Amino acid sequence: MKRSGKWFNVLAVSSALILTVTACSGNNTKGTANVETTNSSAQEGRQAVVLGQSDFKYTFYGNYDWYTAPGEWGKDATSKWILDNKKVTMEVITSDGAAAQKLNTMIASDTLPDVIWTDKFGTDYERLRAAGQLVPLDDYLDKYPNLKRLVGESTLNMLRASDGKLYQIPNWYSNKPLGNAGWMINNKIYKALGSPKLETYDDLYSYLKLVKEKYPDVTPLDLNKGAEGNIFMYSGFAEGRLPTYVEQKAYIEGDTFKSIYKDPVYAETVKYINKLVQEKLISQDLLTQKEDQIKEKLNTGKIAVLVAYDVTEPSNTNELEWKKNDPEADYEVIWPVHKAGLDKNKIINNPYSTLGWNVSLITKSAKDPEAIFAFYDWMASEEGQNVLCFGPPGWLWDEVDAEGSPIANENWTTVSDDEKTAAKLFDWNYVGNSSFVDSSKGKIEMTLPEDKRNQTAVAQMNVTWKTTQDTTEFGGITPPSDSNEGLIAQRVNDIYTETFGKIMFAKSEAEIDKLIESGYEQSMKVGHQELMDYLQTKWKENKEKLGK
Amino acid sequence: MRTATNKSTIYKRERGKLYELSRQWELQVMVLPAVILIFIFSYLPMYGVLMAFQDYNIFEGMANSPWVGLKHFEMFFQSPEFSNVMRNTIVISLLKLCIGFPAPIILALFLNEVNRMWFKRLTQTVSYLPHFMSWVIISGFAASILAVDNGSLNLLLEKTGLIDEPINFLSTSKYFWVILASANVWKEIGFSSIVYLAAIASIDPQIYEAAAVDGASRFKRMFIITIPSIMPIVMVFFVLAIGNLLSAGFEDILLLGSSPVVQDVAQVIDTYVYKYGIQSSRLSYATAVGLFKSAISVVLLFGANKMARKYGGGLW
Repeated sequence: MKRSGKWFNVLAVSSALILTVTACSGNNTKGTANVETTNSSAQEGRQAVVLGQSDFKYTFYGNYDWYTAPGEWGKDATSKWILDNKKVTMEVITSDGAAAQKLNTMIASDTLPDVIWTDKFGTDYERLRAAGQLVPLDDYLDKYPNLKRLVGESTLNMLRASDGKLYQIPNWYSNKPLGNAGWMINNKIYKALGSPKLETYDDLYSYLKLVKEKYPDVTPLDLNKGAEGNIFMYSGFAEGRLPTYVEQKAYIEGDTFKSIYKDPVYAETVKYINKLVQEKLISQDLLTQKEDQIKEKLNTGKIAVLVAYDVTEPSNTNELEWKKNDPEADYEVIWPVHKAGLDKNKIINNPYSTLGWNVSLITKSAKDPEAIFAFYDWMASEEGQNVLCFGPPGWLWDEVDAEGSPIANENWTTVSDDEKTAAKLFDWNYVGNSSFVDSSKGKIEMTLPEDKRNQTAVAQMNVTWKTTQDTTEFGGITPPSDSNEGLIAQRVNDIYTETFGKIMFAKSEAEIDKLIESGYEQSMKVGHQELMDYLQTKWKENKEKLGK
Repeated sequence: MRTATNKSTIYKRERGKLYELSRQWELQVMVLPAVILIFIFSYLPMYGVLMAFQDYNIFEGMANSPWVGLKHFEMFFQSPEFSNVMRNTIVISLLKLCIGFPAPIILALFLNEVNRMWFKRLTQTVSYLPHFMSWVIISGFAASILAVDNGSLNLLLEKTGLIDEPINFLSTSKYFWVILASANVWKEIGFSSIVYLAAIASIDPQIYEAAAVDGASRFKRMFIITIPSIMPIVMVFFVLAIGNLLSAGFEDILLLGSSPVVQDVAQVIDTYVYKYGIQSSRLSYATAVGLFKSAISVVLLFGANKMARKYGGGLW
């Protein structure tokens, strides 16, 4: 008995080991197998690829920690229509919460996906390009009708790499203002408190005090996670001030980049926010609270005023739990609060870039990059955008107008939000055309009765798209993270976050001045000037390219 | 083995080695997987440390990346974070060593004196449960206990009149080390005490009886019997702890020290490697800093072992 027990142990341990070893070697063979699938892109004189003739599959990697696949391809109405009609399958590879590590692993083991969805001009784009891992798209541009026409020559030129070739397919590119950042109020509390004037920072201060007095369990002002809202408060302290200045830790005076610590507007902003924190008008956990905590507060109506990157989505109260139990529950996006005496139309909360948000890159691992490009070209077309954003034809819309925008049918209002969510509208769109989709959405909303309108679209049209400025010239000016300037940028950012945090909890204005001064000196010591020179050079280059 | 001194015994052992090995071959087979595992996962990847002396290019691989000597080490030593990171690493490790190391021994000694079996079992179970929770959960506990709005600790202190207004524990630098050390003790004290309890259990009860007959009090018995008897085990664990001195921790610091305000006291070598190396794709730099840490750890381990051997303990 005892002996057989021993034997069992030996067997168990060795089989476990064998499993590990084989699992290991399994990975290895996969790695080498993929090496052979080098590109065959340069097929001169090839006929343009026509989608829908044969099955075609490609892999897609979303290079973000937060990215998860919208669902399984072909299981929802949108992707099923594409699968049925275009015979294309997109296989999503997710990062499992560690995008940088996953991409490094894929590079090191030669198992790059066919398409990488990542930040435009990001570090990863730059190093993949420099290593010759990306497929240049210039040859395809003329061969397929849509991308070149819709994105436009000047935007494509801005997206070109230093070698003059184009590798990036933009997502949510635009030729008109856009953005979702700004201010939002809890309308129920606001009305209950008598709808006081809420335009200047003085109005805001008295309103927040009133909220704290009457609703002790409500957070008067929330700046969202990481206190991100502070940059929009900054832009309300002067006309034409971009939130971007705080993000890049440098403001522009004339044509020169100067340290944000030397910006009087910045000092005024942080002193004001500090006052609100000290008087408990902003949550004391403003730097440490997680996204879920904020969502929870929003879902239960426990935030009176919110400043955030995206206020248009939470303002759509129809989807909130709160609304289900309380018919009065309502959020509303308001015009940015600003310093008294400023022209409210010159307050900028939404710097936007015609280049859009991010990009897709086709790698040399792709067996048939041209087919992938053809598919992207179709997705970018009016038809593609309509299917991806408003569902397959015959469901919510049947026909399109002269500009290609869908005309909503009766299903548009009767189909529930849950059903629309299940159809993954918007979720599969990785080559979004902001101008087209937004104007289509706007046209449809305007034909609907007021109570059926989507509040997100209304808020965008009335407020956030009016507090914008074209800042395309800032596109891709940040240095790659593994360069010397990238290292400086990281240090400057770290010093900044720490300084900002300390300012929030400072006890006096003198202490704030001292912290700002020390932040300035520390950043200069690690090379902030060098970084600002770099940014300035790149910025000027961009301006020249744009002819500004 | 160290007792084998004269020639005849050595000869006997040499001749007997193969024979003994063949007699216990089943046992050796059981060890083999572990040896192979360690070889594959601990020794083979070690060639990767060569990256520290290269400007590693992930696309070219190690064979084609240029050699740059000690460039990355110099970069680390000259970086503005170096002194801060080293100070935090050493302080946090020493704190963990001075508080986290003796705590489970003291718990084991006290538990050993508990007469009521049910109470002893209950305490043991309750105290070792946190070990099985991940730091994500523990830091969540800590964050809600220490929160400013409705945090239990602040409420308690306020209700008892010790403070007038809530303290922002997680965003105040001076509290960070204390919070970190306490959270670590709380998480690991029960589990680490198991091995000491086992050691205490193996002490011959007759020794205690004899001491009791001689009139030694319970405290006296603890000091003259229990502590000396478990000393060898304590020494072994102490040497191992010294070897880990520069491993100040990673998850706990990353999660508890998330507030930007505490970065000046929370940045340690491991979090630095993660942030400045891996997250920004500076792989060679990350390797160099990691290698530096390992080198110092090995020196510390040998030093501690040498010292321990003087007092009769030691790993080898």
